[in-house]
Amino acid sequence: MSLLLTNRRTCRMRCALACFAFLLGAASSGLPFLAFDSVARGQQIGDAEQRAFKEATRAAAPFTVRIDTVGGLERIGETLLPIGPFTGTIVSPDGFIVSATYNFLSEPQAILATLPDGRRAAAKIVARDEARMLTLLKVETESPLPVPTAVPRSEMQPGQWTLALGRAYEGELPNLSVGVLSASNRIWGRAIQTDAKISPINYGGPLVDLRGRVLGILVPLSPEGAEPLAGSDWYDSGIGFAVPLEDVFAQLDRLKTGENLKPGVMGIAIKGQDIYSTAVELAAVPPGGPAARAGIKAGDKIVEAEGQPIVRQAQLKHALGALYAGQSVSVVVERKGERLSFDVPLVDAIEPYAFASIGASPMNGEAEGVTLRHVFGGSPAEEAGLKSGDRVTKVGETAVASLADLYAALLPLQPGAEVELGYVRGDATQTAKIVLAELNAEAPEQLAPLNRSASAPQDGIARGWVDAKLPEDPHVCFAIVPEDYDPAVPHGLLVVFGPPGAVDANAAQQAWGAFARERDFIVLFPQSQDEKEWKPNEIEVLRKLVDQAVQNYSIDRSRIALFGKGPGGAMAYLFTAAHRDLPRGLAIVDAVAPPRTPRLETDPVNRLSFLLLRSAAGTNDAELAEGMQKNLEMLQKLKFPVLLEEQDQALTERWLDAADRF
Amino acid sequence: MTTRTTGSFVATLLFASLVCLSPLRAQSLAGVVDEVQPKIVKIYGAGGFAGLEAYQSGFLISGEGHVLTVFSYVLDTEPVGVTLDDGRRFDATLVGHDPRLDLAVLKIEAQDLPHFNLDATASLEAGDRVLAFSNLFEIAYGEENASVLHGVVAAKSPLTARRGAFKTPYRGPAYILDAMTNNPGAFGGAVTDHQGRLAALIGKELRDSRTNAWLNYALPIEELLPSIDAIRQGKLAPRDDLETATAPVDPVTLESTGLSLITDVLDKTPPFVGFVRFQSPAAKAGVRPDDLVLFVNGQIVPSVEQFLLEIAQTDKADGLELTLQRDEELVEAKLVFDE
Repeated sequence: MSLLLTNRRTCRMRCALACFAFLLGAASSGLPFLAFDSVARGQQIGDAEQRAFKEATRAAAPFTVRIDTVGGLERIGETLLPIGPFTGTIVSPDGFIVSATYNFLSEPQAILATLPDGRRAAAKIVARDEARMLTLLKVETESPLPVPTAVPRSEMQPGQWTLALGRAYEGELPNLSVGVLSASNRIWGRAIQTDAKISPINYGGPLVDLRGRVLGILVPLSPEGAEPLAGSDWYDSGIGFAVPLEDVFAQLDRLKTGENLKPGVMGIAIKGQDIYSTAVELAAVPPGGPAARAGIKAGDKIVEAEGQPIVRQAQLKHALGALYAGQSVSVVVERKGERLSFDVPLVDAIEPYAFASIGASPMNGEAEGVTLRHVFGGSPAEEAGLKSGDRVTKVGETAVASLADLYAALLPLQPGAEVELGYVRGDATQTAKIVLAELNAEAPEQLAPLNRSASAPQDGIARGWVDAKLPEDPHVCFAIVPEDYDPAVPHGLLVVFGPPGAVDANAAQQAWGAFARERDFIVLFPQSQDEKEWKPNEIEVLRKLVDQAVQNYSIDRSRIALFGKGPGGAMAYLFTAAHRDLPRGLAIVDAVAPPRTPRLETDPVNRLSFLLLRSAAGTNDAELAEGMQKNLEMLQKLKFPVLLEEQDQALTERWLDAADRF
Repeated sequence: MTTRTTGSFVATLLFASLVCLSPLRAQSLAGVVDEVQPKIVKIYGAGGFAGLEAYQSGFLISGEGHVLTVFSYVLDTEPVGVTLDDGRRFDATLVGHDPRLDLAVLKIEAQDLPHFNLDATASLEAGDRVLAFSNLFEIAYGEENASVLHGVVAAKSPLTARRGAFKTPYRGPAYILDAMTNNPGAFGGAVTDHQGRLAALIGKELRDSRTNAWLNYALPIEELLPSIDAIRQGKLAPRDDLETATAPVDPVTLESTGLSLITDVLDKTPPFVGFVRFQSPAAKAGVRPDDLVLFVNGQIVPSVEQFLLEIAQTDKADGLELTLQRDEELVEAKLVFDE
């Protein structure tokens, strides 16, 4: 019955629109009697739009329902959770209602829905869509509930009117916010965007067109973040998201069975960092993952996904973003000039990638192969009889000419695998079978000195204590450049995140001068903009400072590391999470990862090890000690090489100097 | 058919345009704004420290200089400065204020001022387009016009209906606005319909103390009229009468219901029934241990604290209506109190 009512209302509204359209037509045909007062025309359009807003709201009122929750958590972390009333949208006549997961973050003891006839019904959570942050509810109902019509994606036009509806207030009609459709493809294919005001007063409600049809379900979303609160800080900002109802309907049967839907993962690691300019060349296809099982191999280049050509990584992200675990993605790869098609069944999570390790670190400046600078005690390399000075030239069947080759050859291998190494000792070429271990973060007892430049360089490069700030930015930054720095010899780069406030030049040189000189490192000392704290929004400037150093000096990218203490340590965590392509080692003193650090995962292409250090004072701080212990366990679980130690400068220096281990 | 419709439509328009040219002008948005601006005033007073701005907005409601505004700390000084749209500045006196509605009437000494006609105000509903006039952020100086925002009425609802603890004495219906109307200095400004008729008074900045989300709202002018009249006649609306009038003579207590609730440990401990006393009103109404109380007299009670507040506002003579959740079922129970 409510359905009939909706239809009649929609029909009446169409008449109003027809009249409005006619008006526009008459005016634009240039009839002189209308031209003399465009003011009247403007007013008529305004009135017609106002009528259309109200009619659309009325048409959508029956399937826009109020949701109340009782009990549950007060806050998540520091963030207080709203307590409603919330909004839901009916999606099937037998009592299924979809709402935003955000509305149930408090894990309430009871959920109530107010149905179109005013009846309140107990609702239970059936399933969650973890990719699109939706929750499906079910209420018992004897009479069928009204279900909205979905606007097909093909009909959505950016610029068209959209109304965001909610049930946060009392009254017969939903509360509305008026805006336009800003974009029809956002959040990697998962959402559409509107400039209507989207906030807790309409999350879970429908985004409707002027006919009362539903474009999507309003949810807080963020392109980067996947944590529960992601996107909610954009409330009322003019940037709001909705999951197309068409997409919700497509997955409804799966959700109804109680299955939680998760984003789909393929299990591939891609070469190159810039997702907008680099092709999808696979650096590694971790064994056991869906792509590996389907037959995709390292070195393959993905050129098509879901029937769409793929030129850049971002396009693949779009194609995968719309898919769930349990679905398949069809891809075409190029392998040695051949095009091969695969269907890859996506999974919700793959085992964290663990790096396979020989247990050695490399010498610099060797022509062919990788000369071992240090062989770690008890490592596979030592057990197989390898010694420092040996030059590795082959891993399995793969010839190794450089350190990059060696990393690449180890990528597809798993810890525990047996592999034959070819190496040169003296003049003799030898082989050794070794069983690879998991890469660890042990500090070497001692390291052989690096190859040095024979002649003192004569050029115009500034050395010593150097002003390293950006020309266009007031951010202050200093650097130690060793006096014997020779551009012909690639150096390591250490970025020191000190305490907030002015950099103490004497203390900095005292602490890191010898390290820079003896171990061929350039050391950067960026200064926080605020003298009391590091701010997360400084990360991008810091990145530019590091990029400038990499550009101005000869830097070995396998020897870039960060060091941070206290607040600087927290900042180093944030920087690392945002720029995985830079640091290979992160040494932290007396700090834990800040609560909003994006989730870290091992990345076969971007190696990263951690050294967690506790100072004497830090050890006495029980809360800090516990937090660092938790960080250690989390990182171990994620398969990162990590070491927890008492603070010790000599150990730290040796550890940083071995950040390029393999 | 089409031709005839067109003909009569054109005739209507022509007629309207010829006969009432000036009303049409006034009906255009620009015309409406022109007409409304001279009625808006800027108010300057106490404040200017600790994040408290020393300015707010107001508007003229009589030709003799009565200004309607929100009662706030800004008015807590003598004299209060009022700057008209034409740049003239006056010292104003406080005629009176109504603490229940947070409104105040000021008076400046002037004659023949443009003003809103309180006998021809507009009543709005959700979806109506509105204009909001105020000196938000003190952007307008001297004879500069107030700032105009456009938007839509998002809802008409009591502010308390949103459970987010907005602290305001106002209990009547409010317009929730789909526009960023409520910013520093905007309170006291005017909301009009598209014809420029006065519809509402922009209220003080409120935010949900739980989520920190700001609220955009205005108080319907018809809710304020009796109080405005009273103030202008020199009668301040008596504050105490109203509060005592709403308090129940013999309020329901937890003890009198015969219920005990599970221990209230958290701010949001939900009201689960722990124990029901034999032959008590609760027992007679069929309430059972482990029931979860969801509503008291139709009001949702998400916590023990809310439950106790709600029953304290109920008179025993009226009885207590409870909606309970028992497993998946919703159960109604009416508690009757003898004597």
